[in-house]
Order: sequence, then structure tokens, then C-alpha cells
Amino acid sequence: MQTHPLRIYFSFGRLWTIARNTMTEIIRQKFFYILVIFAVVVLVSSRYFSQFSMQDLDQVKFVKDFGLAAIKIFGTLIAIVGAAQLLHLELENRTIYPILAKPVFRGEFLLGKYLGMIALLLLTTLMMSAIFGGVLFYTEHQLLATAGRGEMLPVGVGYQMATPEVVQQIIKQTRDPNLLKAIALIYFQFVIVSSIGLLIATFATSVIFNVIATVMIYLCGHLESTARQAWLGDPSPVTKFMLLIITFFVPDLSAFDIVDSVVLGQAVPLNLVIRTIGYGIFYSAIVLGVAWCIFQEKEI
Amino acid sequence: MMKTLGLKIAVLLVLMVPLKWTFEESLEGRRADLKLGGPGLSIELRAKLGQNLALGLLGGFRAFVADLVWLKAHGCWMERMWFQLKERVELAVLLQPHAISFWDVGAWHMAWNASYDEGINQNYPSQAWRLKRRHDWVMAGKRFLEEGIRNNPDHYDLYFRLGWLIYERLKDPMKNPLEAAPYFVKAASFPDAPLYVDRMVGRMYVKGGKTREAYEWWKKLWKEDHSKNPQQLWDKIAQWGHEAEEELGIPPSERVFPPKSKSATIKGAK
Amino acid sequence: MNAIETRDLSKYFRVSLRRKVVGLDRLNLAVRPNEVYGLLGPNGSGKSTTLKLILGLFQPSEGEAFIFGMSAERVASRVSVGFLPENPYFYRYLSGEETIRFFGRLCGMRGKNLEDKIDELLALVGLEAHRHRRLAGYSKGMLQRVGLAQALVHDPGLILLDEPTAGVDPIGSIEIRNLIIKLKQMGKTVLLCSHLLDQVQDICDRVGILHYGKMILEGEVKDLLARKDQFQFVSEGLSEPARAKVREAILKGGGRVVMEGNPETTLEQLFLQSVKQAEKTIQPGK
Repeated sequence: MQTHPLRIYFSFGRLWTIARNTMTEIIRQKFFYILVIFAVVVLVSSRYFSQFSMQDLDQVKFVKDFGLAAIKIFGTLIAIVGAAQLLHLELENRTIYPILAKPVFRGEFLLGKYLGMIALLLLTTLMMSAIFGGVLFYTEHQLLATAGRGEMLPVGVGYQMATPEVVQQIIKQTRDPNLLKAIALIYFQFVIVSSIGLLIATFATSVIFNVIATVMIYLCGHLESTARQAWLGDPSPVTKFMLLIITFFVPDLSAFDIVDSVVLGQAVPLNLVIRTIGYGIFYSAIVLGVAWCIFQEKEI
Repeated sequence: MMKTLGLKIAVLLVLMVPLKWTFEESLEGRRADLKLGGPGLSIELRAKLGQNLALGLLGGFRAFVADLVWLKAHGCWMERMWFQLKERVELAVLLQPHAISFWDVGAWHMAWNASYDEGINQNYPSQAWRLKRRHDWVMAGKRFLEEGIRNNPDHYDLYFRLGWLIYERLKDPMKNPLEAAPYFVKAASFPDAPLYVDRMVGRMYVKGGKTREAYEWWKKLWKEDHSKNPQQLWDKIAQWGHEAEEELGIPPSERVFPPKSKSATIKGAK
Repeated sequence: MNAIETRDLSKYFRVSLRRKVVGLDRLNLAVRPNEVYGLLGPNGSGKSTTLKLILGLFQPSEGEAFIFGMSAERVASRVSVGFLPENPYFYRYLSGEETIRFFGRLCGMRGKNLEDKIDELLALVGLEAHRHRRLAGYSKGMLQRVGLAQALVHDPGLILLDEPTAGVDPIGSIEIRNLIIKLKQMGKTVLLCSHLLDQVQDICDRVGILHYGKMILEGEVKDLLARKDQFQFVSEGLSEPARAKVREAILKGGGRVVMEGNPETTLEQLFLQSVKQAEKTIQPGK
């Protein structure tokens, strides 16, 4: 018969058990697989929309922009709705009681739920990226087939022979390893959004409120840098206070907009990408810290 | 209990905020140095984009929104609505100032399509009007490309397009090729510029009556690695080089280019 | 050392800026090791609040609670506690076996040790035949049994049961009660909350009755229930003349006959006897 030890410590085993269970829980929810199916449909149909461009090299831009936007929107929706339900379901279904009655720290529980969420988001992102890569590869294949038949490619605004340089340009655009930077940045936006959703879940009782609040913060995130500059200006006291709220709490999501520059082939140094990811981790860690403080005191 | 909770949160936030701001300012500074991204959402931009696209921009879908604006521009081209097309093209480049294809094709729409269509538009009262409108659109395209070059000085495409615009659309048989030539030279100076860009330099010199300059250019080009491009292209350069040697009376012992050879017809070439 | 000890344990709930509701008012409870203690009371009396305070799900407004001498607010104290909540919900997509495995892993159990324990517990609670079935397909009684299994997975010294037989049929109820007796025989301590009093009566050593957050009565079941002023005989095979002689003897001894007649069995006993009988003669589904 077990008696309690004098002290127990944080356990990765318990963390992983909760994380893995969270992944299983989310996968079985309707909203998740509906969104994933939609994402797959949209990604595959991006080739259709690209036909409106003039240049064949532009088709590649359209496919990339459309595909990355699809990954981003569906991933963000999964992050928002998933995070909003993480705690709510546990409390509503009372499944949290037997868990916290075990020797499990509340911090382990919260972190385990969060890690499960972002691990699932990682798998989903990788899956969507694979499909996106497939569509890009198919686009490249079609363009190179045109070139291979000796036909002219509508490059620029005239017609040009598919010279090796032009073919190289196509391949360079479709097989651009910098796309991995773009996808990494998109993923870390999901990480931030999930942390915000989880924080709100520690004190909000309604899932709908959580979703709306997270969406609002997400949208404000793209205005945060503007708000910060405006705050440093000389606005009225009321405006200054409102701007302060935004700059205090809201993440600067415009930092992640360099995804678009990556797609355009602009030189985005790896160093900047890593620092931006570092910012995402830093912000999420603080948000999780606040969530932990609230959850520690929460009466279950 | 609430007091301790409030205290813990307050401490976290007091520690976080200065770090957060420092981090954000540093990242923003670096992005500005590298000229990444585009303008943030302003009231003017919101008015131009409309509600849905503005929301898309706010959601961080800048490139996708720019592409949707571009699709609208494409629609305007189909309907020959030139002023609306110009508005949308300008909006697209405002959103993504580094999207080369927007500048390139946008200038083409103005300086070629719009100018041609306006030049034959019978709704104008006289031929003088039509010529003036035609010229206005060509100049609009030229200014647009110059703006594009200011935003993107490190891409060959826009220099090439500007050279082509000056040569083809500002109709002055002797002057334009020479005015266009420097742009083709600049375009050709970029390591990723295709061979057809290099060839245009020589052709401009020839059309501008500068055969010697053209010949020097062909000779420089001839020294490059022939294996990287199809033989037909080198045959064409050989033909022009030979013609230049003939015209300049270069002694046979000093000639570089082989005698006139059968050049394959490039499928679909104009 | 007591298995559970509370000292002036109190909990107030704030319902508005000025009003507080008393959930528990200075509870001093001491549950001895290896006893089955029944915590009784009407709805809203503070039973669940007491359990949550012991488990650290609530923080006390005043006072303290201890489990085997360690503060109940410490997570380490829960190594020696197993908890079966009221109307337990577990993850419906997990099977019985997966559920026990999940909770076992939360308690730090792994590998063969855990797998052997799962087999043992499924046998103990009688769910071997349903181990691979998802909990979504379990009946109420089966859920209670899985709940009991997860509470026992880490072999705790103290088990807290919140309404373990609520909503369970009489046969299931008997099985759970037998399990509780078995747990006591295994040396464990059980704290049981219920308002099904006749079920509690049979298995508890001591009971405490809560009302409005206060302990109003506490003691050994035998002592509390015994009517010390009366004594009863139950006889068999006595003829009417013999019964008359017994009545006379009672009167002569200075007593009086308070009640006489055929004693009644309980409805539960009748139910169990009928079901057992029927199982011998009727085949299910034919």
C-alpha cells in the first residue's frame, strides 16, 4: 500500500500522458476534422485559382500565397476553437476531477493540455504543408512539361522560349527552401494564438466568449506595432490608455508577416526568422505563466 | 488569495512588458532595415480595400489580399476599364511593393494595352485626342515602372521592361533604342538575367545606329559559356555579330563570329 | 496518525460583494486508519465541499486538512489517495483498459507493473469481459466500477468515494459494497459520502452527519443505532400457547411488549433472492 513520499517533482511522463490524451481528444472532435477536410479541399483547389494570372511564373506566386493563406487560416481556426475548448470540456464533463485527484500538479495539467494542442497543430501543419508541397510540385511539373514540349512559356508579357534560365527560375520558385521558414513562422503564430486561448479559458466560462476574444486579440495583433508607435506619440489620455492596453497585452503579429516577403523571394535572414520565433516562444511563455497563476487559484 | 494572485500576475507583467517592447522594437527595426513587409492598415488603405479585404489584411493575409486585388485588376483588363485597372494595380503594389510581377505586368497593362485601346477609341472627338491619351498611358506606365525600380533596385525584370517600353512605345526610331539601351545594360548586369536580356542590348545599339558598340557587346557575350543556353540563341548572336563584322569591315583574321549559318526557327517567336 | 484529519476546516463561498455562503464551518474530522467512515448529510450539507478540500480542489478559507499527516494542499499527499467522484465521467473514447492505463501513468506507473495492475483491477471490479469496449458503451454501474478501478490503480492507502452506489441497481450496489468491505480487509481506509442511508449502515464503522456545513452527530454505527431501552428476540417454530407464555414472562419481569408479529425481510433481500432464483430457471434472450 502506497504512502506518500515527502516530496514529488515535476514529471515529463505525466506531462506527456496528458498531452497525448489531449491530442486524441481534439482529433475526435467534429470541428477538427471538418476544418482539416476544408483545408485539404482549398489547398488542392489553389491550382484552379492560379489560372487567372498572366505569367506562368505568377501562377507559382498565386499557388504559394493561396496555399500558405489556407494553411494559416485553417490552422488559426483550429488553434482558436481547440484552445477555447481545452479546459471548458474538462470542467463541463467533470473529467478534470479524477485527474487532479491524482498526484498531478495543476501546472503539469495545464502545460500538458497546451503541449497536446500545439503538438497536434504541428502535425496538422506538416500534413497541410505536404499537400501544399504536392500542389506546388504539380504546378512545376505542368510548367516544365510545357517547356519540355518546346512550347513557349508566357513569361513576362510576351512569349519566351523556355530557356534553362527560365526553367531554373520556375524550379527556384517552386522548390524554394525558404518556404520552410514561412511555414515555421505560420506555425509559431498558432503557438501564440493557442496560448492566448488557453489563458482566457482559465477564467472565462463560455467557449463563444473565448473564441471571440481570441479573434479580437489576433486581429489587434496586426495593429500592435502601429499602436505602439502611436503611444510613443502624443495622443489624448484616453487614447493613450487604450493604446497601452493593446501594446501591453497584445502580441506583435505583424512581425510574422515576413512570411509574404519569404514567398516573394526577398532576402529574409535565418537569424531574423529565429529571433521572430524566439519572440513567439517568449510571449507564449509569459501568457502561460499568467494562465498558470490563475489556474493555481481556480476553484474546480 | 486573490491578492496573491493579483500580485503574481502584476509581477509577471511588470517583468514582461519592457522585455516585450524591446524585443518588438528590435524586430521591427530589423524588418525596416531589410525593407520587408508593407504598409500597415491605415484609414486610406481601409477605404481603398473595402471591409472584407481590410479584414483579410488585418488577419495577416497581405499577400493573398494583394492577389485578390490583382484578380480584380485582371477583371478590369477583360472589361477594358483602364482607370479602375490602374487603381487596382496601384493598390496591389502598395500592399506588396516587392512583387515584381505586379509592377511588370501592371506597366504592360498601362503602356501597351490601355494606351493601344485609348489610341483607337472612337469616343474621343479627334485623332489628336486619341494620340494624347495614348501617350499619357505610355507615360503612366513609364512612371509606374520607375517607381517599381525605386522600390526594387536589385531585380533585372523591371529595368528590362522599362527598356522595352522606351524602345517600343515611345516611338522615336533613332533616339529610343539608345535611350532604352542603358536599362537593358543594367538588367543584363544582374547574374540571374536570362540571355534574351543580354541580346536586347546589342539589338538596341544596332537600331540606334551604334554598330561598333553593338559589336563589342556581342563579342563580350560570345565569350560566355555556350552550354547554358540552346544553340539557336547562340546562332542568332553569331548571325548578328557576323552582320556587324561585315558592316564594320573587320578583317577576316580578326573576326570572332563564324560565317552566316542556318539558324533554326524558334517556335512561336515573333 | 489519522488517515484524514481536519482542524477547524472552513470554507465560505462569496455570492456577491457583501454576502458569503457557508460551505463548511469549523469541521474537526478524524478518520482512523483502516476504518470505513460514512460522511452523511442532505444535499448542500457540505459533503462534496469536504471531499474537495481534502483533495486540494478547493483551498480552505480557514483551518487545515491532513492526509496521513501531510497537508492536503500538497500534491504529494495525493499519492496515498484514490478518488471516485459522483457520476464519474471519463474520456468516452477510451476503453476500460485504456482509462485505467491513463490514470496509472498519471501516477507514475509504467510497463509490466502497470499492465499487471490493470489485469488485477479489471478482475477485481468484474470488467474483464468489457475491457476493450469504449466507455461510451458502458452502463452506469460499469462506469462506477471503472471509476473504482482507477481510484485503486496506484494502491492508495485512503479511498474517497462520493455517492458510489447512486443510480446503480441493487445487484451492482451489493457488489460495490462487497468491494468496500474487501478494501477494508486489505488494510485500506475508506471515506464514503452517501445519502442512501441503509446501504451505508451495513458497511460503515463510523458515521458523521453534516448539516449546513456543521457536524451535528458522529459516532460508531452500532452505538448510534442501538435502542438501549429495548431488546428483541426473533423466534422460529413457537406455537401460540408458547408465545402466550413468553408474553407473560415479559410482563412478570417488569417489561412490556412493544411490538409483536412476523418480522419483515427487506425489499432488497427479496429482490436479490428472486433474481438468484430466476437465474437458475430462465436463460437470457430465450
